[in-house]
Amino acid sequence: MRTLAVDIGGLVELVWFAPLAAVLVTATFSACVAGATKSTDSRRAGAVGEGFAWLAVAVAAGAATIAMVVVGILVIVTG
Amino acid sequence: MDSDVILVIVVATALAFDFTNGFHDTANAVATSISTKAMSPRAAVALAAILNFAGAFISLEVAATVASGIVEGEFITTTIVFAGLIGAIAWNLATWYFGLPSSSSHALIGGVVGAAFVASGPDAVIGIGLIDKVIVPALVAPLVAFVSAGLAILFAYRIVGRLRPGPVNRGFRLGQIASGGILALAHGTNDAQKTMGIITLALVANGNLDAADFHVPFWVIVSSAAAIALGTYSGGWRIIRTMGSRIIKMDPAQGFSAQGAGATVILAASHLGYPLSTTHVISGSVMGAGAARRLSAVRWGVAGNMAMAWVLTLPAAAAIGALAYGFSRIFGEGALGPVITSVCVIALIAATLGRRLQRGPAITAAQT
Repeated sequence: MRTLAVDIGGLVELVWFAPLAAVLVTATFSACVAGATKSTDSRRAGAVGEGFAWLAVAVAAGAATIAMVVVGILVIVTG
Repeated sequence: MDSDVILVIVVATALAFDFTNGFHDTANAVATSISTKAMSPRAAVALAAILNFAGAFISLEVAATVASGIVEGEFITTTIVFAGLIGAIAWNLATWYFGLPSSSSHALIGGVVGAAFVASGPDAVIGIGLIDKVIVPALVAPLVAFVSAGLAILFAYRIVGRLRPGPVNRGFRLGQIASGGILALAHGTNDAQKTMGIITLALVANGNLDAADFHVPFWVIVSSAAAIALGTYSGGWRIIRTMGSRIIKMDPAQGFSAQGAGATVILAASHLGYPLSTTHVISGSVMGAGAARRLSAVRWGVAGNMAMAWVLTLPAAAAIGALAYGFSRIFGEGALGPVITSVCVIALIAATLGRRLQRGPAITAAQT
């Protein structure tokens, strides 16, 4: 007799891991967008130092987003 | 001679299914990018077509074919596969006609199950396999995607909510190119495999390939990749319109959250060994991104129609697959049945599309 082969452990892991990963990706990219926007606004307002600080935030968040994209592509490639 | 003719018909039908799979599922990758104007419609479908083509070459895990674990392998014949493909193509075209996104994989499973049931009786169908591979994923995928995209957009609004909308929208539109690209790549990798698996198994069943040395011929990889890419480039504009603007009107942040969350859920599920339907995931994430902002932003009537299409996919494709198998067998076990069935199906599709064209132009890129 065949039994149900649903992987309950995998399912539970998916239910908490997928939303967490989705939030992480979106929040990181949002930080990149926010950093770039605030950097431009600060430099226009004459706050050059603050502008560069926000630029650093944007670059760091952008790099983190690219790293996540690379991980995603690796997951696709390695199956 | 008869078996060679059936093989040619199965290969042609599998490629036709691959084409419908491409144009039916184009919306998964590009609909939100188009609706938020992150990309022009033609550029979006061209990028998706290229990435679908590339994705088809990435992985060749054809051993796990789409109906394995659902239909007993000993009962599968080339005529059953042919009838199953007819069921899947017919359901894909019907749902495209009404602009409803539905799972091409579930349609294919349904078609093969229906044909196998009529050919060999209930013993041919593994009920537990249906629950494992169709029903549980169909319930889980949209719910997980809904919650993921909903949470993602709330965080995104929290971070960028008080900033100037101009540069924020430009940023998220840029991000959508990457998120849509990943979805297209994942789709090409997953879905082109089904066609490759079906053609390869038909070649093994016909004695053209050695079962002990199971490998996918290069021409099968190229033709499957080309068929899904051509289908994607044709653009299923009706479904793109449903997914992109009929469920909710999205801003670029919502579009990115829906695509980003969708891609993340699909990849996380694949990583955990739990493959989900891209259609169900993206539909769920689009609704989640809309509902998180305002529940009434989602057109629940359209969402209800989609859910109805999902519920009907398996039985409807199974019924058509069963009919196609029964009709083929009227003409015996040789090639005549599949030949006549193919001619009838092509004539039926041509007549339907002809009537549609007489009523006015179909939905095009400009109307999405």
